[in-house]
Amino acid sequence: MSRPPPSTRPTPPSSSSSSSSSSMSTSTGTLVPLATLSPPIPGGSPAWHVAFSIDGRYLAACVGNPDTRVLVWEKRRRRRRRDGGSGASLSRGRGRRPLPGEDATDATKAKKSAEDDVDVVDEDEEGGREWELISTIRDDDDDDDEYGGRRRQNRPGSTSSRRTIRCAAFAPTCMSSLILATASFDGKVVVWERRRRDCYDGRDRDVDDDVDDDDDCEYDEYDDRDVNSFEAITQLEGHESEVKCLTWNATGSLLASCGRDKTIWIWECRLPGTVGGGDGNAARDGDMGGGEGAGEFDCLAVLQGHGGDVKSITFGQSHGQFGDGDEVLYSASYDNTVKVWAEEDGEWYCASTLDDTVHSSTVWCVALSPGGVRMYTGSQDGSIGIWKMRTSAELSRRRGSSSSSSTRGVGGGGGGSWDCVGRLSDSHSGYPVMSIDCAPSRAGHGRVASCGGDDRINVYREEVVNVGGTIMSSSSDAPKFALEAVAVDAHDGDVNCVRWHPLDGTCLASCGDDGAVRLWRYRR
Amino acid sequence: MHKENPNPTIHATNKRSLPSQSSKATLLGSAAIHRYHLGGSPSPYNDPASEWEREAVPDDEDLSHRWGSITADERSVALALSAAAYPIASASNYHSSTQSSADSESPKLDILQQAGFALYHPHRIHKQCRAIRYPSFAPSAHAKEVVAEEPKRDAITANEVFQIIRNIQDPEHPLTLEQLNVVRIELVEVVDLKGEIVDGEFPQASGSCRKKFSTVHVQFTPTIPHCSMATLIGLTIRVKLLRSLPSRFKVVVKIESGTHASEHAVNKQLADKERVRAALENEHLLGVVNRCIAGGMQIQ
Repeated sequence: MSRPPPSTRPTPPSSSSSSSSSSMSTSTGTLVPLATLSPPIPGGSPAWHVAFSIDGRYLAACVGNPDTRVLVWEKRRRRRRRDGGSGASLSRGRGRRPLPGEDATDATKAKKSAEDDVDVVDEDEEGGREWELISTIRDDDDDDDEYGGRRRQNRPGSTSSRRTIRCAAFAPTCMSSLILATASFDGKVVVWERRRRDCYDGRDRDVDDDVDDDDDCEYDEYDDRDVNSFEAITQLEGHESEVKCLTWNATGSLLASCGRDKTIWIWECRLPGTVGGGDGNAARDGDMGGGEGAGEFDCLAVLQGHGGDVKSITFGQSHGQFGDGDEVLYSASYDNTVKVWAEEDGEWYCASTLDDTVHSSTVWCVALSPGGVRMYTGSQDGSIGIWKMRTSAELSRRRGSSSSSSTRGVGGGGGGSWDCVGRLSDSHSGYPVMSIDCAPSRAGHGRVASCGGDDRINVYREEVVNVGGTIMSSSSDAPKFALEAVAVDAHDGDVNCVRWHPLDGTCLASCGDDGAVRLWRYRR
Repeated sequence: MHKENPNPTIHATNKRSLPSQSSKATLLGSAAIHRYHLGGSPSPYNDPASEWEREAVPDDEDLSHRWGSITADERSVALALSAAAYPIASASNYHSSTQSSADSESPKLDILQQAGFALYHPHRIHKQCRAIRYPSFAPSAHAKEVVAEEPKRDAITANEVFQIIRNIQDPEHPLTLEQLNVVRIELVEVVDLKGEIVDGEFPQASGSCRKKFSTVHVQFTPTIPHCSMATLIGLTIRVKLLRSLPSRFKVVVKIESGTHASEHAVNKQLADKERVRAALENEHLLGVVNRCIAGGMQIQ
């Protein structure tokens, strides 16, 4: 089930194509199915969310009730590139990469393997074949006798938990440890760590302290079978009801969760392998017992202010315009608004509530451009809002230069604001826009993908206007967007989430109400 | 002679598959028959008359009757049959052909005629054969058969949808929603179609395409404007529709405009798929919904 049939490329129910409408003369891109990682199951559980790890090597998907689970795929490294002729033929297609010679020095080889670590761009059409299902996390696998005891210990009360897992997010940790946070409708956030052979050497002592009676287990953990299983290391409790979204900040020092109870919780994390999160040595040498050594979570703030469910959150850069911290948090809500939360003297507060006339219904999602100065919001009313961050200096310029001294705005730090500079009012045939994602800066093309209740995935391109030799695109106050590629009937039902691969600007992942998880190939 | 045949590859396959046949002219025609599946048996020559009679295509009138219009394939077949039947005539000049036609018949000609094939003299085929006189660019018969095999289904009607929701039991009373006049057939709207793209408005960008879906719109009327059960009734209607209808339908359940105090809030909640899913994971709520659905069936 984890792998698509190797002989044929899987095809979704209907072939996708670029928009063939004659009015779309600018439409040049295509979005074609690359692989179906998880097949659609009629009448089965919807797939709510997909998330790539920071290095793009792992993909997680949350599948909801009744068969609640989190699926994790790993992209296999292509070893053939490094050994012998097949590798040479592969890299020949790239052009820019020199052929790996037979007599390459060790230094060259080391460099090459380092490149392979980050370079997961696959130029062949069978890229989807390389994704292998490595783990299926179920919150209720208490029938696993071998480790059940410890799991229950880590997650009290987990026996009754079968509710939808709505969101999953990989921590931006270093490659040695893979940490995944999941949000469940039962109000809990669970942080999972992948158990790996190379990680366990440093953690044996902790485990020994904790579990004395099953020495055999210790050896079993070195089995290949167990290398890919995820272990719950922490359970964060605090939300009264459904948790709907999770997001890590860029460094992995903060985890935010939001949900039905109208609140946003910010957790401070000290994960091994994150900046400021305590390195592995500290965790090893310190005398913290049990699973605590793997990462500590403290509640930093509970943000209240929304008048309805908080549907989606994401961290962004403040650019000095909101609060005195480097980071801000954006939240989209059932109350039709988007709020900006900033940090001032270590306290988080609501710095701004964005124009509530832009969306006439629930705001489902909020996405930031890689630079953090352009924001996209998708709503139940079927529209996409396009927002621009204005600095306080720009604002005062626009107001007129009467108050030249006030480069810093009122109310503490910052003074910037977000203005709605555009609106795609009918982006998904009038159906809700469920998810938006901006292509990573590494992709280099700045496309925006959206999906929604019309079963489609759209890829937008911001039209570049050339004014007197100056390219005016993202700085424009009235950006124009062209629909560049469409996957019609991407899923047999609403498409709930779409995400760009963090490194590969031609790869997208999506999931939908049909329970399918698909990869897409975007070409300009 | 071979120039008459529009598909020269037939000759090659024909010679290889039936080497025992002496007359090339006859083989030419049989290849065409094979090619277009006009013959019933893989080796019709063993028992030609009986085998061919069943599948025989007597003349072009029947051809057109059978497939609607004359296709390019049939033109080829007619030409090939003609060439097969009159090997000498097709090569000779027009004046001598009428006299020599009887003599120049190939040995298999009478078999073809017995089978009921229409055999035109090469010099008269352009006048007599409709397939030649009225050439058509219609796709071949095989292509049309594929189109015809597309599954057909009856569209789901508003009445059928109403039948699904009419016998839901009210959560507070031992009566169905139909009996309480909460649901009415006039307030059920059904559009059942195959997904198609139509041009639509797209003010911001240079253009777009809209997609139309099969939709079910149901409005219901709470018994009183402050009915606290309105959300539950709507949820039950939605759940039963989701369970009953094919997945191609986009279901919208709303309160009839102006019949409830917090109409907007209830509608928003019913339209929120995440909330609906979450509500159905609440065992208590799911139990109530299931009781309403099951209870209604017992009332009937």
